[in-house]
Amino acid sequence: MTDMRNDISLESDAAVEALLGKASPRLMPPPADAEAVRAAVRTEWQVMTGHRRSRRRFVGFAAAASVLVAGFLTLEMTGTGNIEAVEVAVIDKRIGTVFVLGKNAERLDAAGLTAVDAGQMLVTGEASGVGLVWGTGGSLRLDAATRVEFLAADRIYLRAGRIYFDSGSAAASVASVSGSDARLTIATDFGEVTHVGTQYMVHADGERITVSVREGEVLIDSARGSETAGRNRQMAISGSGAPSIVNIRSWGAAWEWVEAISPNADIDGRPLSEFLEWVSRETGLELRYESADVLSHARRERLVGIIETEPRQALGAWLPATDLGWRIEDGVIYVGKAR
Amino acid sequence: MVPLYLDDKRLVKQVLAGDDSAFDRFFDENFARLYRFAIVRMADDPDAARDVTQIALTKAVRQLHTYRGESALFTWLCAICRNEMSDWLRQAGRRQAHIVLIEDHPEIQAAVDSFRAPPEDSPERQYRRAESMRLIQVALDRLPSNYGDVLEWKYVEGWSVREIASRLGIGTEATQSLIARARRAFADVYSAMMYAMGEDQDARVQR
Repeated sequence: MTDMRNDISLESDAAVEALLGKASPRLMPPPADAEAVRAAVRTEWQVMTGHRRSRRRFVGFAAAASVLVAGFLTLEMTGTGNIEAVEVAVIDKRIGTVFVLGKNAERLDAAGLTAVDAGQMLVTGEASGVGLVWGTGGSLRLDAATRVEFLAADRIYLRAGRIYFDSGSAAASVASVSGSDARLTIATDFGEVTHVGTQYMVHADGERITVSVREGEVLIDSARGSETAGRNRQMAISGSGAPSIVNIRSWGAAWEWVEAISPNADIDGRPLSEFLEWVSRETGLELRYESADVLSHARRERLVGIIETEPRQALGAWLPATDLGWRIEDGVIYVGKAR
Repeated sequence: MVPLYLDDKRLVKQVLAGDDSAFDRFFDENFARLYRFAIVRMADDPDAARDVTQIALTKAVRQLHTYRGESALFTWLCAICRNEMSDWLRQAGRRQAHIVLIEDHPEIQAAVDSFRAPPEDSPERQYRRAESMRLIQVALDRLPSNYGDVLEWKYVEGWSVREIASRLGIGTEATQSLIARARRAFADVYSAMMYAMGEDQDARVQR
């Protein structure tokens, strides 16, 4: 018989050192796998710790929150199992690691996924993002480390992270920047967010939700009642205390991730002015023409092609081909004659 | 061993409290070790090992509040991972790999759990040598994460004490002390594994 007990005696340090010296380095997982798994586990952890805190808070103001709690529990109990599998959005752009969770929370690579059905859950990695064309209109974008459950054609649940919705934007054409029937309710642990024709961002971090409005109005239903936030306002709602409201800018670092996954825009045959309005909408920068002549020129000139880059890059790529020039100062795009 | 588990329990408490650095420590100390635990039992399939490890860690995070510190955190994670591997193999329609179990200390049980039967066409002696070398790595993974790391850096990769001290951000004396403790812990774990394996072989011969 074989007796491995007799193979080596480890009574001395020298014996241990000799044994260890025979070994080869331990296998390390591929860095990309480590990154992806870390993102998935971290997201689960953020959701889990967020839920634990929010449940404790619910105990504190159970009476006031009865309506919200009922809705929340219904979601928790039904999960996604009873939701009809209908397509609710089309994936337009993705950056980095994006995956859809299976029923056992296993990661399924979303690289081949072109559309999202009700009942599915998308998760983005640490340096990732995904842009979707919402089924009823508009552009829905998920920032890095975000987890969203798609419940129905007009409803999602933001479990953790940051999303942006532009009810007036679509991938199909820059012509759709005005007017849309996009319907979307964003459920969170702290209330529900709906819009009235707008662009806004919702961030859920387990402690609170923060709603930043770039344009239009957003209605937030929480345990404390309904609140409305308008343009350039940011409202934070947590489980306790009154909502806090501050003024914000519609452009800048907080919005840059939104631009990175802005939808492709078909500008073929469209006037230059519509392209500039699209850039303005996507960046949050105000658009000003230096004269009526310049505006007239922008309305007359037609463009050809499809934009697949970020809006600011598109500005730099397309405007030099026209007779117009531009500069950006203090949140404004100034368009004038090329010098 | 109790202080080690108390340390694990403290870490779990911090993770549950939402401490970001604690989460990173939890992940960094356990992911690679759990991945290695899985891959040797998943026919060396890296994709399967990655998926199973992710599922196990995700479930572990959800159940973290149930961890009592009665076993090492890594042993607790191995138990979850083992269940996930069984499910995965069942769903994949594969025959589960032969697993040798002994009723003993949880750490030894978990370590022996990862042993594989030798391929039928492999010479016994060659297998024993390769398996012994592999078991050194298993023993390193069974140690507290920093113990396994310093031993590997020092004796496998040949780092100097000064280099290890610099990497850990501690003094050279503290590093030497850490290496000495790690060496003793390794000797204990490796010897226990060898003993357990020999007992198991004795039992099989008698059967």
